[in-house]
Amino acid sequence: MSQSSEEGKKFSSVFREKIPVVGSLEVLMPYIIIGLAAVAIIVSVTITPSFLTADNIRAILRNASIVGIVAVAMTPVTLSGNFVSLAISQSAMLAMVSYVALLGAGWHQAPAILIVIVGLIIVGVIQGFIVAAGLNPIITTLAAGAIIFGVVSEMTGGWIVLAGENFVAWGSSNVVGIPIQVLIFLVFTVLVTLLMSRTVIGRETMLVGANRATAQIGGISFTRVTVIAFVIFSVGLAIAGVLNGAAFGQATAVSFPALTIDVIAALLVGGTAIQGGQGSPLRSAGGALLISVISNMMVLNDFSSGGRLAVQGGVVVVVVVLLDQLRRRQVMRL
Amino acid sequence: MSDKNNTNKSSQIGGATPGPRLTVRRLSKRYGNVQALDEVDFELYPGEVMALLGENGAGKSTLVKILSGLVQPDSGAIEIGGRPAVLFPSTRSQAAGVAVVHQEYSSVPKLTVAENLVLGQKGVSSLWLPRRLNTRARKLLSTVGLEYLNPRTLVEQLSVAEMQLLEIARLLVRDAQILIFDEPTAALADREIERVLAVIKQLSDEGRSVIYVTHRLPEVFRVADRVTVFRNGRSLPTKPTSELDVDAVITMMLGRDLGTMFPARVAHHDELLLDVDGLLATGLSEPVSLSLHCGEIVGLTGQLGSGASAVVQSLAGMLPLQSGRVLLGNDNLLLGSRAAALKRGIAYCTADRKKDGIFSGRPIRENLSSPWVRSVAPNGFISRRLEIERSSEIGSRFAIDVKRLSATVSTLSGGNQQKVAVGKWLGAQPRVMLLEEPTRGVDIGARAEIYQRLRDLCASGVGIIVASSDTSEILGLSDTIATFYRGRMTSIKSHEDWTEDALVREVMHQEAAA
Amino acid sequence: MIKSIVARFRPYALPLAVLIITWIVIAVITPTFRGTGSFYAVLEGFPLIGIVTLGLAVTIIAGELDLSVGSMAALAATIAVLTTPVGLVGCVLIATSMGIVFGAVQGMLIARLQINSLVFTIGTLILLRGLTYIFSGHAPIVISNIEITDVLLDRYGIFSVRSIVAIVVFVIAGLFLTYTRWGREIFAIGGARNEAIAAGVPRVRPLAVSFAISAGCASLAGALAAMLGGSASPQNYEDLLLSAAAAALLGGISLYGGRGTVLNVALGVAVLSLVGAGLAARGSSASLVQLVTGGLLLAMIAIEFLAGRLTLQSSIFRRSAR
Repeated sequence: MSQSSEEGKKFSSVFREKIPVVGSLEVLMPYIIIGLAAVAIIVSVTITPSFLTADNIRAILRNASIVGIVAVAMTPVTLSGNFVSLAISQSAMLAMVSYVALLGAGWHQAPAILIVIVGLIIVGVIQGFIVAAGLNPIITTLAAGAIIFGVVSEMTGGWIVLAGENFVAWGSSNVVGIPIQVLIFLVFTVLVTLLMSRTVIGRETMLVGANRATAQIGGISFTRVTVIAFVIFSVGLAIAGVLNGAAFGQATAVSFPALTIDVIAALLVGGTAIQGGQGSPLRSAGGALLISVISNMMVLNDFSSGGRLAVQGGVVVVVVVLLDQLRRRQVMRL
Repeated sequence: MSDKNNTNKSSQIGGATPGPRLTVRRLSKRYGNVQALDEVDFELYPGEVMALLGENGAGKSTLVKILSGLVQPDSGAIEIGGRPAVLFPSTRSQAAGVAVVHQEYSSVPKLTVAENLVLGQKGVSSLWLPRRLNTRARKLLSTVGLEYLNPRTLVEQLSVAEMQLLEIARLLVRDAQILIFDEPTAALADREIERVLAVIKQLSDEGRSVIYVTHRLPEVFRVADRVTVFRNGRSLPTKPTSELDVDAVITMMLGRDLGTMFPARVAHHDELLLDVDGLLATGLSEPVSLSLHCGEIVGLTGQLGSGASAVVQSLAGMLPLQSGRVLLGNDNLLLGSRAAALKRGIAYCTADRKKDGIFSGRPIRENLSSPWVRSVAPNGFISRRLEIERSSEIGSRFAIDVKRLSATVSTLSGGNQQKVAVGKWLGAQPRVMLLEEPTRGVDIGARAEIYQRLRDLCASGVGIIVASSDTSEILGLSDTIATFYRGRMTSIKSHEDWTEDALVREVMHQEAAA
Repeated sequence: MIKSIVARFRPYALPLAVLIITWIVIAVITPTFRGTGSFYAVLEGFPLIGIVTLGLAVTIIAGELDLSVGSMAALAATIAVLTTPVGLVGCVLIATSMGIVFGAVQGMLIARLQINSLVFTIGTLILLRGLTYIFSGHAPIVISNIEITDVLLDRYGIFSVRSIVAIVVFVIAGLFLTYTRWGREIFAIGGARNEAIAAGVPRVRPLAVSFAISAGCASLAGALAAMLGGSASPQNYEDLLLSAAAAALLGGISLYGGRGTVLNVALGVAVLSLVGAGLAARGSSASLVQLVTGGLLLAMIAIEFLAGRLTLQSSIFRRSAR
């Protein structure tokens, strides 16, 4: 790896696109994930004839959507060095229950959705400020999740919340043949990815996660980055809750039971480092898709739900270890 | 109080000369472009105390790293007791009887003194009953003058000196025959230094060999038998302390190969940029006053704990001001927050780039643009084109290969990384540039480039304050030089009124003059 | 003399205060929750939450976090039920040994790979849960020869067989952590890992031991609970992690690592158990317990954080010679 000062005197003035430098993990990562996904797909297709049908593809995408939306939404939080939230299930449940309850109380769609989004943003921002003050994010969100669950559970009294007779189940409808969750998943992924890669706040998020001290000396506010990350996260949670509420028309305090684990798994498998400073929302979407593909393949091959869980856990462990080792190699190169 | 000037332990009366305990022959180590060690030779005899002297970057710490097994030499031979030895990794070095007292201690703060003394030791029973541990601890503590210490005390409650002595006590357990002390007294008060020196004398009386790495000349003359000076990665022939005096040592240390590393000075403007009056902060024992003019470079120099870095850090907004007033232009600067200082145009380049100077895992371009990325993002969206343009421009000015701006900064050499750490501030159009140890671990070529860029910055009216423990750097670069010692500014003069000799004396030799 | 006693008990002051205040509040608002019955109820929280929290606390002291304890408990419960033919003691031992072995391997891998335990144990959490479903056949399983577990139903004053087992485990753990090299090494790598390794503490052993303890404790707790209840369900103990973490922190185990004793764990478990039993005596729902737990947790870490900030500053002043 030679960059000598003597050579550097001549250069091209304006320089176009990224030139992948061999050995630079950051640039190779998307290709690695795509490669893994491609391998998984090829294997699936070979083993399972029923894999490549329109219905099956739609099922894969649909299953990946809710988890994907939340994983994409949480990625800024992780990127900024705030690890993960353990209140994912409860927060999404909060959104779903409040949305359904509002509908059931007679509110119209648009205001109901707006209230849910604002409500979740408030809950998220509170957590964001607490974490920005320095409290451990894992435990803060763990506590927040318990509190949210407790409050909602008390208020619903354990009953199922219903959306009422005028309920229109738009959550499971299709738009130009594509399930609406998938469409929203795609759009949301694109928006958040652009936000992280093209805007100032996105850049600040990455830098704060990469090295908080350097970032702060350079004038970046950790508080601002953290709070905004939690806002984005809350919006994603709200969308997930509303979508599911719009699909089922009812909700309970134990909706979204496995969401926390699924989202964290998707984020990690996608290749975002839990310490922050590396990764992207696009990768989290890819991770959600990869897990969905693997899960789907197992369903088509008659794996039991326990078997699927075990394999999912194994995949998470293996991928996470691999990525960590690769990252370590890269740093050690120097 | 024992004066070592008249003892010479490298030969014995009435018997064959015992061979050296440790021999180092033509040891070399290269880091990228930097030749850290260049064919170093020396011998260490049983029962002797050898002082290692030399400027920062002269090679002392690389040698210590090799001897303690942290790093492997590129070439050369090491012998212990006349037989070839490999000291890598650290377990081998420990097995060979080498023990190092680092500046970073290896004591666990939340465990007791007694427990720390047993930690990591072999041959101790697995049952750590307090009574047994404490008896054993008391014995060890008395060997280093800490017999008054209750072994049940948590290490975090000890003073810095006591921790230092505890560190020594721990090494004594390991029956090490070669002990290396790396700047052991840098953070100690006079009384505590006495204790450390007494322990070192005791160690050599017991027949152990001691390597004493330091900047403190008075201590060298108190406790060392022989002196080896390092310069530019090379070792000068070892001389007995009895044959030397302060002047001779300083002469040996100087004469660095500077070449044309430092750019020509330019007359600076008379306009006052920064007026510091009575600044007091953590790390300073007396208020400091100085002034910085547009286009001027002020150099602050002193050893560890001298207060030079405290001045820079408080001006940068990293340390709260306890008292004093700072005027930038005509405005009173309310410091205490880094973000506020940055808003007023104060750039700050830290001493440890790996810790807080660069973003290791991010592309070079993002590193270069980090302080000024907002200025190329008119409506929140970063203009790729503008960012690339400006960072390419900075990159080329610093001779960084701009075709590689997307590579992560960790792939660069130390020198180029430092160029990034310094260069990123250029795009932020600062009014004042503060730097700490700007060329630590940087090769000569990169140093020259950094110095030239700093001078260019001055030409546009920016004022620069540099804090560095490298006296020749300060001398070559600065217009005005202030020296610091133990938290106060001891002298401030124009560069013309300083010679390298006088500067080094002022910084190092202060104790003897007092 | 008095000063040293005060210093000795200072770390327990806050959790103890929380415990006493909570007890008073609960006793006041729940007339039925007083006297020996309340002590018994609180102690009954120890065999499950207590032992699991103990294990989790050891990993926190080691500077890590074992998120897989809930799944481990569920798996152990299933294994214990499946092996009841060998007898009560036998099946509990089998389940616990399996946990210890798994935990040791987990800890070894985390140490060797130098990977973040948070990230690793999220994977094993899912993996173990999957295995639980597989072993239990995706349905709750029942003990066939339930009579052998009758001894667990006996009550001795305020104690039961299980709570006595819990107390014994606590005592053994406490002695281990305080008076053995292996135990103290766990504190060393938790509180100051780089310094400890520089001092010669092995990198792998303390972590392998910590995770072996946490998995072993989770297994023991799960197995005992299954024996008491007579069945094991693959969905059990999804909330166990939250409760254990809450108990550990409420008792004063610091997230910074390197600090804490079994007394801290006991205090935290007592508070949690108290809240659970007290609210249950009022007929409150489980969700209210979660609410109160979450609130207490938040308050606790806020106080610890402020206290941590204060002590961090003081150590900076001490080393200001740099």
